[in-house]
Amino acid sequence: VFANVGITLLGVVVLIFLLAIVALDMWFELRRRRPLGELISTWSSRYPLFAAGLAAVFGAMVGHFFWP
Amino acid sequence: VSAKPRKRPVEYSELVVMGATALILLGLIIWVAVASLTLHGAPCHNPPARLGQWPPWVIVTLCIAFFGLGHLAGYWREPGERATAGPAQRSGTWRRRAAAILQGALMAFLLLVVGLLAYETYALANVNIYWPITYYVRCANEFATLPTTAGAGVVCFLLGQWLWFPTRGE
Repeated sequence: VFANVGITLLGVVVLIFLLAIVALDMWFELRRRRPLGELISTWSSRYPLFAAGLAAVFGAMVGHFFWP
Repeated sequence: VSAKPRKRPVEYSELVVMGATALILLGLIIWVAVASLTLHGAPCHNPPARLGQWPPWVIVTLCIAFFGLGHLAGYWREPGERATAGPAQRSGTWRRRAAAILQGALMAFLLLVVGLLAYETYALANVNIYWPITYYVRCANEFATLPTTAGAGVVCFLLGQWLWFPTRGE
């Protein structure tokens, strides 16, 4: 059964989580600290297989949701 | 006498990219909040159609393109600040702290994925009571393909920038 709270959780909560990361990224950049994005980038450079695995999981989700 | 460490410069190109991404995300959040508050039922079929208003290959191609754009946006950063796998680039304390933060965040993220997959499995077994997450995404795609694709594109862009960042050698 469709529930409004479901679409709200899916849309707003996930997007707010991403927006918070992006906002923190900008805040650290303005404070001349290393932004979160750079930490993640450094991690993905050190562990490329893990990063590729995460990207593959997300790619599989995109395919599952949008490509029947 | 030890020299005072030089502060890293502000990367305005990074601020512009992240600012534009934040604006798009904010617009999507407002749109989803308003749309979900004004809905009085499913705005799509039950169960939702597998196809949205656009052919699936268009959405998937756009997602791949945004992932590539995220990678290209990494080149706008200062070359000296690019991420690198070289162990000599960071101090031991910084690397240990960053590794701990990231491992913790990764563990939390994977636990969240496990929780979502558990809900998805439970909802699929009780589809008459609860909609699985897949249905909500497909419903959004059926009802509003453009914002749904924009949301997927933003996520792909961020993933491309974070996970496929240009290294010093590139």
